[in-house]
Amino acid sequence: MRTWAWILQRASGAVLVFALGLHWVVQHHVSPGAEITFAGVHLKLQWLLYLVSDVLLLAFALFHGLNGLRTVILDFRVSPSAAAVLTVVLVLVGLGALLYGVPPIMAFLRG
Amino acid sequence: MQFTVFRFDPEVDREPRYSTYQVPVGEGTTLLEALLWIVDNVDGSLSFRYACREAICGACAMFVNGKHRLACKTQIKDLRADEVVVHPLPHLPIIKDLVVDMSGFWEKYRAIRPYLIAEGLGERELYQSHADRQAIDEMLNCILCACCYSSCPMVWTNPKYLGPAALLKAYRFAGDTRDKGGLERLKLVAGEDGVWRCHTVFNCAEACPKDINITWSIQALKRKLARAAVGLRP
Ligand code: SF4
Ligand code: SF4
Ligand code: FES
Repeated sequence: MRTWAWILQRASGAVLVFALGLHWVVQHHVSPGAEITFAGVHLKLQWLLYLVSDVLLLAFALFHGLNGLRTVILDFRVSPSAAAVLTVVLVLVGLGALLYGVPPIMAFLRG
Repeated sequence: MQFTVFRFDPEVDREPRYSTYQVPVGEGTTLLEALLWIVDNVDGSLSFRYACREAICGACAMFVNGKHRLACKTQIKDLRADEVVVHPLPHLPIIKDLVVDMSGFWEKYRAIRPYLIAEGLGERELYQSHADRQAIDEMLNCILCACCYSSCPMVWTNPKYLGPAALLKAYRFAGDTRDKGGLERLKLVAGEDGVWRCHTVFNCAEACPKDINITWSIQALKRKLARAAVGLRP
């Protein structure tokens, strides 16, 4: 389990670099509706590439950040049972934040 | 030259204190010689460990003018200082003066099974090529002085962390082509208190009086574990 946390931390870091680049290019250079008006944002938030890049960014940033936080907390004296509770809490926080964050990105998909 | 030495005798002192001594220092005088001069001529109650006097036993590690050093390998002239300030290895329990309690260090050392795991030991030659031997040359130089261990911030915050010396030794065997410990040995360093606690701070590598890049070995263990986890040959 600990080995996978380490592998995935590296993998998610690599994905984040990619997603961040994608987000930047999509957001500022190729996105339709670059103008910040209601219509512009409306247009942008219906564009699939924009949605994908932002959900990617959100999901992987959450995982990378929370997994990193777990490592930092475990650097201190933490018993195995407390570590298990910590893992569950962080997974719930991550899923909660994801469920909270994705609907606004998808807000205009439904018209 | 003035020597300021950390003193603490739990049977007498309520708090640590410092003693100062004026010690004659010549060309090539080592810190160990200076400390022995103090014991012989001024203060026989000063305690410290030493054995080999030639940087191979690891007993005389201490913290001198802000750096981890071996007393026997340190020439006073090389310190380029007007005063020598001697402390015991930081972050270890003090038994008396410069003598620290190494039991935690040895416990973690034993935990990684610091010996060759192989079949037919003593019955036939276990061949190792020159190149294979060279791959673990650096790790074999470790003299178990605990300088690295005492300098590691992860050891300070998490007393259960195996620490650099034990992990270096684990790699010394995991990277030895004759060792058959394999996954079994890797498992010993794979837990929360094993290699994953190392954040590559490199304090250990800087503190090591044998100039061993301990962090490299710890990273190599992580790589081996990661390869094993995804089904590759470690
Ligand atoms: S790795 Fe270096 S500092 Fe650590 S115990 Fe061995 S010789 Fe001492
Ligand atoms: S590199 Fe790792 S073992 Fe060495 S001091 Fe840093 S955290 Fe400790
Ligand atoms: S006395 Fe043996 S290493 Fe210094």
